[in-house]
Amino acid sequence: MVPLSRLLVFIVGRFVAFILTVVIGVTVVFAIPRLLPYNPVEAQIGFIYSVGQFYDPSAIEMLRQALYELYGLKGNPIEQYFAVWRRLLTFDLGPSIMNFPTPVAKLIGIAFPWTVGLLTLSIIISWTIGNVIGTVAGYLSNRRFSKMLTGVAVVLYPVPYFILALVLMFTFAFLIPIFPLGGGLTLIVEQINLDLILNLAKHAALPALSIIIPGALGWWFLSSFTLSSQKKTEDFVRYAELKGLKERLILRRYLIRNILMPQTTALGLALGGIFSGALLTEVVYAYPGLGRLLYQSIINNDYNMIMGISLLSILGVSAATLFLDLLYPLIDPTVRYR
Amino acid sequence: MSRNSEVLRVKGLFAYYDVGGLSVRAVDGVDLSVGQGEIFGLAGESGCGKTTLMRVIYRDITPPLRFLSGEVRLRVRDGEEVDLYKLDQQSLMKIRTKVISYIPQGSMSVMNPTSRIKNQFLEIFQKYGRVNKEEVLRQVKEKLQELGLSERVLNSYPHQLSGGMRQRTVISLATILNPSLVLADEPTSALDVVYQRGVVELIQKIREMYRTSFILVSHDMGLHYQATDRIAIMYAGKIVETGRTEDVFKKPLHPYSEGLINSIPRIGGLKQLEGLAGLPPNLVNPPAGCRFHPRCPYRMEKCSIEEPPVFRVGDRTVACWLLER
Amino acid sequence: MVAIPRLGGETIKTVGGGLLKFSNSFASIFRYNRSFRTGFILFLIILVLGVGIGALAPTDPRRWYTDTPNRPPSLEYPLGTTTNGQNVFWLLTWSIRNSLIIGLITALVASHVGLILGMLAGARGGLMDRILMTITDSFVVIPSLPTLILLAVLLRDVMNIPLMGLLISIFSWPWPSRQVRAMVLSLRERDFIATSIFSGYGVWGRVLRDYFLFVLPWHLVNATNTVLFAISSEAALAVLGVSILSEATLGVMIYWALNYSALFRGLWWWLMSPVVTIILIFVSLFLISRGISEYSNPRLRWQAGR
Repeated sequence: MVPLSRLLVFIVGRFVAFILTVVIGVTVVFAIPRLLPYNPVEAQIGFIYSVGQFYDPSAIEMLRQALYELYGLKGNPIEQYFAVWRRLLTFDLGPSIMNFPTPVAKLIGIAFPWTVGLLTLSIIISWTIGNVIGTVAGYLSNRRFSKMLTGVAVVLYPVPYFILALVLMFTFAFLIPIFPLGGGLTLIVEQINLDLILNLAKHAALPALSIIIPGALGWWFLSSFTLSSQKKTEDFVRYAELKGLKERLILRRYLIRNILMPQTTALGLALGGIFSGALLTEVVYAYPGLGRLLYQSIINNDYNMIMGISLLSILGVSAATLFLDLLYPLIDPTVRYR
Repeated sequence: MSRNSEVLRVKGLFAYYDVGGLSVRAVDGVDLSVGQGEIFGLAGESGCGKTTLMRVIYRDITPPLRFLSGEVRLRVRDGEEVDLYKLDQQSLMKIRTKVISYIPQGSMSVMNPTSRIKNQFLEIFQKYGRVNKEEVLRQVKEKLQELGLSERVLNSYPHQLSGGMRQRTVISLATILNPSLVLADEPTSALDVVYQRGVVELIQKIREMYRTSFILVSHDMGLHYQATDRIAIMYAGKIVETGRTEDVFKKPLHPYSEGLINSIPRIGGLKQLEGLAGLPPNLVNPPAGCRFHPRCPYRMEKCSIEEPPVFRVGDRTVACWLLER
Repeated sequence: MVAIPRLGGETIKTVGGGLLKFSNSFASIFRYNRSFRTGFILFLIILVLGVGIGALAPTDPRRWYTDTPNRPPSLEYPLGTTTNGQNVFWLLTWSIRNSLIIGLITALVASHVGLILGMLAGARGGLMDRILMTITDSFVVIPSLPTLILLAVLLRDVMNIPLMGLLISIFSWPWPSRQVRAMVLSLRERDFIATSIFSGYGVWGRVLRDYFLFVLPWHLVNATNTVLFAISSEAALAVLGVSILSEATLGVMIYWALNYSALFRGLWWWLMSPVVTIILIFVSLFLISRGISEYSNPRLRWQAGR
């Protein structure tokens, strides 16, 4: 077993990387708006005026002050910077403008489980299925199913989730109306029963498929296919064949097992992109997760909300990557035992 | 050698590589036989076809390698023989590791890096049906002990073992089901001298205890001298000489064998070492007549015209016109 | 510090020779690689549609109420019309053109900035390498979409097509620079670089002759993929409503179609035209990049059966 000191160094190292990432991310999100000649307070006030109402100038002035406070724009940049950190760490991201005075944190809290649920489910399914199918196809690359799947993968791989989402929506919600056109739930939650679950499932099906299909049959399929084609020429696989071990065993213990490991690392790297894609898919389906929340906040110029979601995304994706990083040595014995 | 104690008989083996429209004649008419409990050495320069011959004997034929003709008769049970090339795939898979085993070149990386050694042993047993894991592991531990190997190895992963340990583990894996014949391709080549000795001792021990036959392929003549009972010298896809190792080393009959054996440094030797002149022949268009004739210091006119047949001298065989007298 | 390259005879000869080689390689890939051929032809068709045919539009397709609204596809309106009375077919051609422009700008800027920085970092090493890599890594690590959205929102008033391309470039250059640097580092070890050093070429000479030619195939693949990525990013931003909503791009078409609940109201042509077009563009570009990488990697070429 690795000496404890080594393990600690590893964990600490990853944590430091995580914190560094978050710090840089937050700083960038903090700095950019302030570097540009964009003043959200004036923009908001302009928005109010553009709607056509007239307000007493002193009231507007009070509003202005309040807005500055709300947006965390009071005081000099240093003070503001620390204010942002305080907000982030206490999860007090200010009130939402479009749903005043509901706090941003609360709205995010409502939307968050939808997104996380969708993402977790889709990622697990697509990653597992994609890698297994890809590995098998890579090993048996001259069979017909392998060639067909590769052809499909080539078409699916470059297509972003939300585009596929539109295609799926068109085909299965419009042309052949099996699934609903959008939303997350059309029942009032009275009790957890089968109806509720089915309803949830029906609404989540297309968004989930939009993420699963390009993942399983596109990205993960192709990358594991390539890895598998390489690995099958390596010594230990050749020797397993020479020993006369059954094909299924070789696939399971020699190929899939040795491919899932680098693919775990790859998953960590891909999380950012998958997350972004999921957000857009939610917008397309009006699925009540962070994506739709973001969309609404953009339309309604809800500065606090946009900030809040950006910050949360950075934090969330970095944390998930950290989690995977820490998980990896537990799976890969060549790293665990030195 | 009497028929009864023969474990392997190879007759008229031909196998070529198809590369870019040409045929590389890597195994071009090979006969040999290996007795029970015999350590048989296969020697020759790099590129003479030794590894290919091993592969062909094991029936590891994958493109661009192509089997043309020949027999590989293996003794499966007392009195029962099979020709590996007449078997169906299933029977072939069953025989492998049970009757005949193969240890390929570059043994360092032949084990599954993410699988514990004990599971790799289990896999071999599980090939033949459900097994009782504890029972199997007990047997494996016993055998390892007999061979003088530590059972700590079982819970480790391959990368935790040293090179020498890995090699010996691979040999144990290959012999765990007590096959009659083990084909070992360059078993010592990547190892330090100290480990080499360990490997040789292990092979000899297995032979002593289980009467297992080995074919050792190596370009290291020193290894052959130490470890083998009989030896075959291969050149350009053909066997040019066979015989008991002692005899061949003391008095090599084929000019090529002479060259090979004279190239071994000896302690206390004062003679200038002579290598063999020239390069290994082209296996696509081998020289006419005896393939060795361009490099042979004793060549006669006949040698460039007609290929020599195999002459028998006692229990040795030589393919050289010099023996015609 | 970095010396400014002197474009002397050597460089011009190299570049000229390079161009000749390039056209030969192109002909060769086209002939022998099915992936490339299919992709290229498909892309060409789309290109012609967008640039060539688009120029023949009778009016500015972005203008509202140039045609009867909500008409399904027919002989008169090949791809139907939108709720705002726009002709979908002509709108599509202009959208193709604009999306391709964005993709092109991003590819030109991002992949070349990445290429140059990567070669610099790899060839020079030392402090410059460290600085560049730290900057690069911070960019890689930040999730790009939220930041892009933020920027797009803030720049709403001044956004136009070229600026969109530049915006997307901000997040597209780090990755190629990392990859190029890695390639250059592996090259440094090799013998033929040593020969160059001994022949007396300066850093830039080495960079141009040896590294560049080696990195070129990958660079082409990456540039193609960048176009793809850029078009996709613009579409993503559009769907969220932060692209240039008054312009004609594929993403913006999708935005308006969604905004007007096109599918819900049965106006499927409005939504599916840009969607299908985007898919075709993506597939064609992907085939092209795959073709190039198959062609330049000998092992892949063998696998592809040539």
